[in-house]
Amino acid sequence: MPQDSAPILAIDCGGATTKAALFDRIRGHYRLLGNGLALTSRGDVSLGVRAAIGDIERLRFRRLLAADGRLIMPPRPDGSGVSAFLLTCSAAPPLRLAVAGTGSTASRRDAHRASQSIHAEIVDVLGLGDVQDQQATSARIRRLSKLSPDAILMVADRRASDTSELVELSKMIAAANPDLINGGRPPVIFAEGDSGAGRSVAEVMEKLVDLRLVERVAPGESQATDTPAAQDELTDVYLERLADVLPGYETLLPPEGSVGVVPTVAALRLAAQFLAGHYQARTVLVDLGSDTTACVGVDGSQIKSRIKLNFGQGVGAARALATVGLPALTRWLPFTADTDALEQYLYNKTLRPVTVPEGHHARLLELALGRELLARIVPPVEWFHQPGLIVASGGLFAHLTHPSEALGVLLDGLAPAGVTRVRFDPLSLLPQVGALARWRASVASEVVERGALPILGTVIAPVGHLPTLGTPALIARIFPEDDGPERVVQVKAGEIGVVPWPREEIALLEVSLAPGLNLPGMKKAKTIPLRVEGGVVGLVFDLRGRPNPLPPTPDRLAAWVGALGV
Amino acid sequence: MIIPPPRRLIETMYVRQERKLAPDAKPLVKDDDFVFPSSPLARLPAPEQVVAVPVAQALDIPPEKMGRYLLKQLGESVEQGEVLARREAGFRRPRRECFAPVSGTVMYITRDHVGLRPAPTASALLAEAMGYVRDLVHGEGLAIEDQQALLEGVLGVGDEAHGRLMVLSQRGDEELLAAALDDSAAGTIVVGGVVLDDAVLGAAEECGVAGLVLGSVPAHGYQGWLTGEAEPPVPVVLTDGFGPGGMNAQVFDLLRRQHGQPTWLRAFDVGRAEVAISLVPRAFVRIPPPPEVGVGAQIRVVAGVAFGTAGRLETWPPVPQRLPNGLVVPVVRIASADGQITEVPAANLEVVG
Repeated sequence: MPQDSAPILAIDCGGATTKAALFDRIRGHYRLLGNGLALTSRGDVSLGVRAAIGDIERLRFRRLLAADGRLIMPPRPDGSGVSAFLLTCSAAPPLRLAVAGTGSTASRRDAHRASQSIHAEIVDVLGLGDVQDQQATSARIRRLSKLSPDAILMVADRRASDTSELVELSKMIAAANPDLINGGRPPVIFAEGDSGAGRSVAEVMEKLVDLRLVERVAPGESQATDTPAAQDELTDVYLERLADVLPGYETLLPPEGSVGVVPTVAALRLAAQFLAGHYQARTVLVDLGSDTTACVGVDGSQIKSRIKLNFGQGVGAARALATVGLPALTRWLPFTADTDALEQYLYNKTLRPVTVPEGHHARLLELALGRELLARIVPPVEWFHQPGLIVASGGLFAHLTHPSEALGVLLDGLAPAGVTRVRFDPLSLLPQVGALARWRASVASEVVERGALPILGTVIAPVGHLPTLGTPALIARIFPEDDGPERVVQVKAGEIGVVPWPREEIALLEVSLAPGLNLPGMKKAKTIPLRVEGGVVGLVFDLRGRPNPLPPTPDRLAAWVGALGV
Repeated sequence: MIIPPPRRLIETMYVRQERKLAPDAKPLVKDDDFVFPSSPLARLPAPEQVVAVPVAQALDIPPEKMGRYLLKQLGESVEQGEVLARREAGFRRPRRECFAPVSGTVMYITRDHVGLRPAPTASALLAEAMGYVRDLVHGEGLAIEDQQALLEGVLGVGDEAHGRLMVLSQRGDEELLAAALDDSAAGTIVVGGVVLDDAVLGAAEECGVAGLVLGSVPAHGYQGWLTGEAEPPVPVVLTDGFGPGGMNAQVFDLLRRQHGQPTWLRAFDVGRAEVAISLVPRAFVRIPPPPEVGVGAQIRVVAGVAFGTAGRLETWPPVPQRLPNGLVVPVVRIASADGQITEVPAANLEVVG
């Protein structure tokens, strides 16, 4: 064991699998030492966690668990044990949330946005219209009582100055407090914003419900960033619930130990913020989970996320198919598909989400589903489609025949425009990276710098009117940053061109585009100079059109797949 | 490394569930009676739970004025949704009403709210278990004891059901036809290999079948069972999944041997599907622990080329190997019942037992 060893164990309990990762300092820098994988155990998550840790113990010949099954903390001189333990979790059912707002739909939209920061499902939406008619109010009260949400999030309209609407809404929520009927007591989180309604709402509700007053919906929306926001309260409620429904993780800790659990969605947001800062780029992070697909974008101080539950590659495959429809998948398949067989495969995948595809067709079907999940998770916001950096995670990216498959899925699903570096997460470490970044950003930096998120390459995808298909659309002269021969590549409209360029090597480009095309964020010029990074795949020139790429046809699909070398 | 999950298939196990009886509960069963989950064990006195209704708050009035707006007085009965109190409209003030959240009787009136005792309903303590009543002590409790077989399905839809087991197929991969169902199936749990025609489900409902244990159903048209958008007319447990494959031989063999036995089908969701069968009592055997994964373990292939194959593990742990589609995944060798050796991804196995 190195003298400066300080091993960190990070665990992510996902909906289908539990991932363990051990990081330690090697020659002064943190890096991934080993990882393990196990099925998430329902009822007692510690079983799955111990199995995943067992993988690392066998791989590294290091004892991490004591004879009583608890983590050895702090580390012992013989090299066993860890100095820190981080846990992220999305294995609990989603938080059932009712959102309420007054006035315009803006407040309810704010509430909806806050719900996207955790693993939540909105079961009811209440508005002022519901309290203006007594008969309707009574019906809504009964409905809300019956739905029995885990939490109610009420957001003041940003423009409202009259507090009476909020007071009326509060009365309805207080009257519906399921405590009266079935013993539940969901917390009511009220983000008062600038409405000044906090005291009036508190007078109505505080004796009847567990009221949590906050200033704003998301952290960092106002100057007073040290006070909790609705998102923080929601995270707390989710974690309280996590402890209820997934007992067991405390049994992993030594008697005096403690751990801060981070919901996986929150960890992904942390990871996206960290990576955007680390790589100094507008970042879009996508995660294709078994049950849930998530997308987080960071542009400067802005952070937006979108989470779709029951929309994934495993447990969520059946619902995903119902959403996207079979034709959306078959258009990505280079063979005539037996639709019954496709449905059968995806429904059985829902039943047994950790099974792996054995045949070519099954594998191509999983890649097609990945493309469509990505296409539907990105918010319709322009900057999401022009990222400087894409980072992709999820089970799909852990089972590839070649990394270029990952790049193909990301290009087709996300259609990034401009100049984009693309990284992927073959070991599903992103939630742990997020947890590391919150704990100690310097450790996260060292881990990603040492290969945790390999770079696939840089994609150059011009926007604008494509010239006639098959005619030259881009010419690039490529020079190595160090000495080396110049290369020239010409890519025709409707095609993809790939120039292998090693990882960690910089290429200097002079790009000439056909009239009507440009690179967002770059000055229009006859030749556009670029400094880009290579990767496992290399430099990729995507001339399939942006913002609306050419639809796939069997011939085009064969050409695109061939160009990427899949 | 993903270790193949267990899929419970237990030939025999001892089940005992103890139930407490309130001192004033009147037992409706005696020792050695056989009960199903919905069988009443004892009659219970009416609950004393009282629901507090915040009337003053609902009418937006000072608490001391609540009395003048009440439409119901102490001891009066109210129906759910009936107006308990009303404040008429006034100058720039809309009319307000407070509704009864439950049916019941006004038990008390305080300064600002009204207490309602829900109307007494005939309530009974249900067995919520299957087996023989044992050790009944009036005012204290009883036990429900049984020797059962248990199998775990992959999908359950439609809640729970119970009845005698009726095996209508000769083999696990045989199609169950609507014509096979008649009045003799009423109240039973019917076992079939594969259902290819919707008419079977309609016929099952028509004949009064209590529930179905099926190997598989076609994918097309049945996606609603997975997404929660559709439910079969009778509860269904699927043992194998979607496709024409039917029921694997191990499960079918167990069910066939228990034809006619009392059966409890629990069909709740993906991964929450079980069939418990009451056996003719023999020596009591405790629930065995989940099977260990290792050479010799009984397994079933649940995806891929060899889907449905049953056999035993020939090698463990798995070793990484390239599949024909190019993926590199951990692979094991299995021996099927006829001795054939096949290589299968470890992630595509379940350990049976």
